[in-house]
Amino acid sequence: MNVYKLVWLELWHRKSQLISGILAITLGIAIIVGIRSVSEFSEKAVAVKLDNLGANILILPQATSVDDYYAADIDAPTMPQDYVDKIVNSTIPGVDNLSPKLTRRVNIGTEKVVLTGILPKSEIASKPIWQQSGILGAELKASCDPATAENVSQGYVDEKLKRKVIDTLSGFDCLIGTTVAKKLKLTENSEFDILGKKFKVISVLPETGTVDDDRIFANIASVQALLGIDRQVNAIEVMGCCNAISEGLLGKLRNILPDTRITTISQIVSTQIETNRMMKKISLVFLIIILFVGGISIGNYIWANVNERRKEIGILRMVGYPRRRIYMLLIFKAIILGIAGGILGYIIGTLAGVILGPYLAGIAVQPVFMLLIWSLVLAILISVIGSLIPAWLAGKIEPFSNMQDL
Amino acid sequence: MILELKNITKTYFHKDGPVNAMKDISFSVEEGSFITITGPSGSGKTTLLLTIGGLLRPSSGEIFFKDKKLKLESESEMSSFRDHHIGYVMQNFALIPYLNATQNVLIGLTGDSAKTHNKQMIAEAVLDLMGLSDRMNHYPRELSAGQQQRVAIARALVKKPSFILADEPTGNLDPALTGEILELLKEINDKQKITIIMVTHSPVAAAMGNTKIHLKNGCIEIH
Ligand SMILES: Nc1ncnc2c1ncn2[C@@H]1O[C@H](COP(=O)(O)OP(=O)(O)OP(=O)(O)O)[C@@H](O)[C@H]1O
Ligand SMILES: [Mg+2]
Repeated sequence: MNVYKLVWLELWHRKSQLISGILAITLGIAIIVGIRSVSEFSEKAVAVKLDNLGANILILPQATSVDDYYAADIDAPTMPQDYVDKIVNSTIPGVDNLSPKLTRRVNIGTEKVVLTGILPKSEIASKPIWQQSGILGAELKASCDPATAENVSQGYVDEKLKRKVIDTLSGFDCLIGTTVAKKLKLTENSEFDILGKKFKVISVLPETGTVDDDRIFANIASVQALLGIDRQVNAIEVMGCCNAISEGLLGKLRNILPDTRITTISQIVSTQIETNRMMKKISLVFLIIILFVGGISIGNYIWANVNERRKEIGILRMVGYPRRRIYMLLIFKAIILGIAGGILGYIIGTLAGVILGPYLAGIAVQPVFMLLIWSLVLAILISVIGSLIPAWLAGKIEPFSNMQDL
Repeated sequence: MILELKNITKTYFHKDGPVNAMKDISFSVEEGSFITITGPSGSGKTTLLLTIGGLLRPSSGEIFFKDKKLKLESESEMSSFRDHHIGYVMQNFALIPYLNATQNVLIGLTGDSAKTHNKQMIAEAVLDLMGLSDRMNHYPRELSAGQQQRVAIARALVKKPSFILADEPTGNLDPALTGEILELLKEINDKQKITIIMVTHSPVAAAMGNTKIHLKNGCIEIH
């Protein structure tokens, strides 16, 4: 009979207590894992967003909030497409690429998708990820890249882009995101109806992990005609040279377009970064709370267990168990509680994150394996630390007081 | 002489005032003897037994085991002494409810020397000796009082102790079972040469001892 077997038999003997003991840890770990896994993916989402948005300046109608824009809302306000020309004509230096967009949610069959009208050349030039995929066969770099800074100042015309994109995306051609392709079961060269007009799929875009996967990109002129919103756009994405931005490009643009909202992408994602920071803080606060509450409730549980087992502990001391072995008995039990609570907490927290993540944070969350290791370490630590004092007190139990009323 | 007690006293400090449970107790124990301790309730019998086993530290005095002075203040030394040399048998059996007979015996084998496989065999052999070969997987609640006490004796015996310290081992048993258990203890004493120190209220049991100690008010009278 070794100590481990004895612990095991005792655990089974008092199953219901065991469950309540594990529950305290499980709950705490679940909360931390839930928050951490959501924020982990939220951080990734920011990175993806930063990566995929080649443009770094966003011009929106005054009444639109950045969130509205990313939610691709149906009734988002619009502004005249002429604003593009205004910028071009102003000859403000450092403006590299202008990409007006008109976005609306539309129904195709039973599916809801986002229809985005783009000016092909500029749209593509500002999407590094699309270029990398080789769809367009062109390698463009954002103007912030020093390597291209010179190109930019020299006029910057990309022949390949011009040839391929403007030619192909005219009229009723479209590019579709992967999600759309799946939903509507479309492949390259399929034809389908958008608002009563037949469109042809030129290409299925590679997956980006952003709202773009849910979009159909078509020529902005066609989209405007389809929606009956003549020469209106609801966003202009701009690739601005970083130097120019720091030299006050935003202010210059605001002077030309006073009734718009002009932000940099870093400002846009900064709200999400802010949220992530807050999540980090919250999980830290929870961590501290859980360390205390979890530790105390485990300690309390072990202490109740010790009291109930005074007689047993007395017997064990009587047959020759040294104090050390009594400590081991309880600490080993605490470790088992920690392992069980850690694993359960991880599973529940991960499930909560995966299920609630899309609702609460608008992002897809997947299990983070590293968190399992953290959960185990943390749960065992809490459990063992919480049990130290009760175990120490249990070692003080002398069999005498129990002998007579065994 | 296997054990010698010299001027042992024990004072319990209770909030209603100190209790002198043992007053200057000295006696020696020959190896293989059967000592019975009698005395009125509250005379200090249990206190004495617990002190010998190192479960209770006396207020003063010394104990020698095989001429070696025991470090009564050292928890680890006394645990180890108890582990190697002492088997306790209590009035209320002191079995752990969620362990079966074999497992209850096994907790008596805390030493690390024997292999797990061996321990199991030894425990079963001792239970067999106690006439419990068909009760090895029974839990205490599934055993009669006499059987429970035999499991307890098996647990005391399994470590091949130098002493068995028994505190009213038949106190909870009817006369027939009392006779049975006393026979068992006598046999253990005769055949295995294990020294037995037994506290008892029964004159019949007391008569079995070759040394008879009578306690009165924490003081000793030897016959
Ligand atoms: N923990 C304690 N604190 C204070 N006094 C105690 C304590 N334990 C025992 N006593 C007192 O010490 C005296 C001896 O007690 P002990 O249990 O040794 O008697 P006993 O001879 O075994 O009695 P019994 O035959 O009833 O079992 C008693 O007067 C008792 O009240
Ligand atoms: Mg007593």
